[in-house]
Amino acid sequence: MPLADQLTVIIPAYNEEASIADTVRSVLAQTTVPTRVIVVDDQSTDETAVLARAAGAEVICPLENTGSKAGAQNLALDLVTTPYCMAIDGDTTLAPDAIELLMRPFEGDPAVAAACGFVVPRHVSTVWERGRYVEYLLSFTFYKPTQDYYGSPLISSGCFSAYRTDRLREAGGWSERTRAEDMDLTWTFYQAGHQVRFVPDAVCYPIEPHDLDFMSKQLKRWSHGFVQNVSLHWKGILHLPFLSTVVSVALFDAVVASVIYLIVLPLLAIVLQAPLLLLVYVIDVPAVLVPVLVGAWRRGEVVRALVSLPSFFVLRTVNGFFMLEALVTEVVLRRPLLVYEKGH
Amino acid sequence: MNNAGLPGTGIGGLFYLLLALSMPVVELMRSTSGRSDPGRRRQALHQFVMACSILGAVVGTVVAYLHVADVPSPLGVSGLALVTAPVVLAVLLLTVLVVGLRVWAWIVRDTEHVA
Repeated sequence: MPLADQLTVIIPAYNEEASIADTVRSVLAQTTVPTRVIVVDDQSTDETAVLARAAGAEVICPLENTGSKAGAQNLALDLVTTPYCMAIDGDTTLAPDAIELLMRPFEGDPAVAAACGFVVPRHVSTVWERGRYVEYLLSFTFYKPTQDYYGSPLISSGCFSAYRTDRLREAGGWSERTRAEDMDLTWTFYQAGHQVRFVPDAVCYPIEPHDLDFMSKQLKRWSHGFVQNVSLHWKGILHLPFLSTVVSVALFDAVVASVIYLIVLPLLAIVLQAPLLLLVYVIDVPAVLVPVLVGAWRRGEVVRALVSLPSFFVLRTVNGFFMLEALVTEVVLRRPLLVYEKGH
Repeated sequence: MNNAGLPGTGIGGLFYLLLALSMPVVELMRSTSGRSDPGRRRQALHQFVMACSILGAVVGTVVAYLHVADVPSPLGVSGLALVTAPVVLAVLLLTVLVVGLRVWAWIVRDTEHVA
């Protein structure tokens, strides 16, 4: 029996009336249809619940807003009776064979607790969507397969991941102690001795932030979530050589890059009156371009990738601002981000 | 940048480049101990070829820069030094970071063991 037949899909949703029907339909139109599709309508003020039900999902509504995606997902986890479950964002659609492919690593390998797929923005129009598109192509074409080869994808992305239900419950479900519940869960699995796999052929299409306002909310959540997870897990992951090295390199790189992009480079260019120094912002174009073009070529999107490339460098600099803000707020001022603010 | 949402200077990129370049050796070692399979070999080859292409693109750009661009260095440093210095610095930083981390992990484990 295909594993997708033993699967419950959980879709947390808050005011997703623009996309929830597409999400549910894309799940129900899979090559292997899951047993159950549960939409958690987290006290939306729009027509999310009605549209999800009309599209064919089972809808549950908490008595009050749970306050986070993790909270909404945990509510549905209590209802899961299948050996496997999956979390998909309310604004994410799937390629027709995505679930069938994503479930394959679980076959015959009980050590696998979670699997995640390839993420491609559904809309690629604004500078923010284009920047994210290139980020994803780079990350999912080069970094994530490399992490997977060495046994530790850094994150089983929250927008599209499958889990063994018992392992997920043993981990306590999706924790609300950080603003990046997917990273928290992934690192918790590793510390418990479980495996996480990346399946590049299983593709999902989330809606990414289209403007700076939404992007800011998302980047703030991600940056704070990363810092919170490092603070929470550093001792636990230190004995896992590959994961701790990946996390340390990412943290070091992010901190140094933020300082260089936002402070050192502009200052040096002004003080030394050397505008050519600003070329450092794009010094790694050749290194970025190769994996991005490989990923884009497979999807028949080379022109789109080339046009989008400059946006990547804009987004990277903005990322730097939010990383510095998160470090200062979380580490120096000891003011953790506690509110889950949706930014798509 | 080594993950979406996190900025990067290139140290992360260098780290992954070295990991991908090491894959054939790792795979060879796994093969000799019977722990390899066609899927892993394909994955290793694919990432290795991509890493070589990245390396080729970077080296090609440097060579082109040194031959074509007659731009005076903003810091008065010669062209080759200007290009290679950040790479050498990045390799050194990465080495210090990785070795330092493992030493730290060893100290923490030792301390916990004693406690």
